[in-house]
Amino acid sequence: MNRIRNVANVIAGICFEMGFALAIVLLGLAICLVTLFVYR
Amino acid sequence: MHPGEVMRYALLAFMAAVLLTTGRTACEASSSKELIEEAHLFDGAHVVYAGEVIGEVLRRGDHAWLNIHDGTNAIGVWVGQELLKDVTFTGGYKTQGDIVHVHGIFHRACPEHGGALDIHAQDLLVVEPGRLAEERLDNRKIFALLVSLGVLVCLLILRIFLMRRKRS
Amino acid sequence: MILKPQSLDIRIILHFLGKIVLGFGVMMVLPVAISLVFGETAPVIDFAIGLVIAISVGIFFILMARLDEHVEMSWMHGMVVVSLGWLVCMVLGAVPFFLSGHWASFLDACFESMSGLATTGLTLAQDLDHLSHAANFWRHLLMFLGGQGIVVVALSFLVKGGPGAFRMYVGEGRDEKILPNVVETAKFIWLVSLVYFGLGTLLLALCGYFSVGLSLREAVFHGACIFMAAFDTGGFSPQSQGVIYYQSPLFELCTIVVMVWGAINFNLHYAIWNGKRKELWRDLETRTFLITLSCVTLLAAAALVKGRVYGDLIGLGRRGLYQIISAHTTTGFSTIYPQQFMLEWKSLALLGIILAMGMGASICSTTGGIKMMRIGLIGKAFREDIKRFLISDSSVVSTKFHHLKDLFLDDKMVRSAALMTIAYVLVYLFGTAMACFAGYPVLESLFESTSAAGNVGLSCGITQATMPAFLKVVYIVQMWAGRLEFISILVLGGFFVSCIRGK
Repeated sequence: MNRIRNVANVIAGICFEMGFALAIVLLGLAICLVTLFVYR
Repeated sequence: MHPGEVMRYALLAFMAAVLLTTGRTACEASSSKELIEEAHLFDGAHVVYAGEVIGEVLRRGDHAWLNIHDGTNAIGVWVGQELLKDVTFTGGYKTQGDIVHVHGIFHRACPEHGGALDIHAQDLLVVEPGRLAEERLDNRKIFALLVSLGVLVCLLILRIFLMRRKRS
Repeated sequence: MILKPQSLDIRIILHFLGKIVLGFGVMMVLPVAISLVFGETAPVIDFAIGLVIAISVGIFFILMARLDEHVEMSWMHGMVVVSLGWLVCMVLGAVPFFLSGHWASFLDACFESMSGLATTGLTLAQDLDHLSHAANFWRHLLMFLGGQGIVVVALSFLVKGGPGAFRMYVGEGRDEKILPNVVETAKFIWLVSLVYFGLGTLLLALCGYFSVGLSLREAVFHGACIFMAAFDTGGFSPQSQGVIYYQSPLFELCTIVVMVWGAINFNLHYAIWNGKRKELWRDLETRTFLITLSCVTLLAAAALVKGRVYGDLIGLGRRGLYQIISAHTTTGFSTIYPQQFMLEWKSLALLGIILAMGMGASICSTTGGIKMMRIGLIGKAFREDIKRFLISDSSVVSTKFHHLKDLFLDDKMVRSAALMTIAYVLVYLFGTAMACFAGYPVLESLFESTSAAGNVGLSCGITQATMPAFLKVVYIVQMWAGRLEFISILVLGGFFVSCIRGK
């Protein structure tokens, strides 16, 4: 039971980190969008 | 305008004219070095580009990407499926890819493909079909392997010998 | 007074050097397996020669050492073993490259080997598109081994744990243990890396097969190679065009995910895997990373938009933001051609990307550069000093920050962070000066030097087989010093001095 919980935690953790990476991309795109608006 | 630049524009206009009238690759191909380093001048122009197809044909629906290497750099070429029928070999370790001439429109930062530097092909001609490359085994390498194996065996024997002596 | 090293010192160093070389050499079995899978015969010979030479050298060192009883290493031994070990592994790793005939000289092969081990990603390979799968796999495997640390490889299998092992571990540019025992730590690093290897390769292979249009076998091969290069923030790629070859936004997004995985501290992976997900947001490194990334993205985006380099958001994201993230995680994947940096990117955008390369990402990850922890600490120290002026004299100012646990900022930490930062900046400038001496313009020189010493691997076109040989050597030294974070290299220098001048 404990082992299952550990594996689930690891999978959730990896997905969480994946989400973090996507969040970084979104943050970057948001900054790009703002600069596009400012200079156009 | 710089005289050299005037010349270049004149040359480009001439190339475009030749291409539009004949539709075939009658003039000299641009190199990837020129296309990359003077991308602003070529942007949106008709160009002729020649080189070896490398990697794989990356099919996307009714089009495909060909990466064509001319000796210094490879440039992605966006090709319609119907132009692909002659392409048989793509360059890799065991193959020499087809040498092709591509005529198409060059983009410095293609709006359709997320700012990529690419060529949208209108015509493609296989000028030299590719072939399977032969692997050559160098005898010197086999000799080197045997020598190094010999050294390794000697070292192992020495090690066993030293361990025996230590034990006794 | 400097003490001259005794013969026992040299024997200890040789013994552990031999073990590291053995551990490294055995890894050459993997490319042999790859060449069998892809039916390539010539590379089998190349790698067999490399394998036999590496194992012979390892056994020769151990035989020379004649160290029978277990002796504990001192700090000096650990540091010297690591810095020498990296050099020896560089030379041995270069042997199969040189034999493949795709590198113009043995120096070029050594450059490639060090670039791989130090997870830099600058390449001198010629006609890369016709390189065998085995040699290509070895380039990427070098990144996987060097990124996790070749000492970590040896620690996991060959060396007994203890304070001596910890000293080697620290010498390899890692400041933190994850588990109390250093061998357990090394094994955990491998566990994390292999789990991510499985998942990342699957992700990239699926993307390569369905979105890029690669054949299944090539998709798996490219997936594995690109994973190793991205997770270890290396930056080699199997084709000469780099990531441009794939011509796919989805594939680029997947590589960003893997790069960010690689940029996260292994300790933080451990915390997140144990369900402590808040740690990611609370950590000083993550926060610093987000701030610096925003700043450099803003610099680059402003310059690229103002100069009308890329017309729309997608172009800006795929060509601008991608390079910035790749530079900041010190990976060095590129979706534009090297010449385009100098010809199309504006000076401000280049400044942004050079700053990103110089700063790097987390400590105890596979990234290079100054690293976020140090930047964060210096920033905190600045804030504390300003605070001190603003409040009354009698009150005590203390600053807290969170890195795995709540910590108080002390002067010792700030001192070492500042020293390392200065050291990195000096090395960046040294490389710049050398490239200027070779006749390159200053901006190009700064770009390439930061890229080499920060273990990034983006190139603006200086790194070519035709560049001067002394500059290749300078970059090799920069990559080596930047990866090992100077201390062990300085100790090695001190060791040689004491050999000559000690009593």
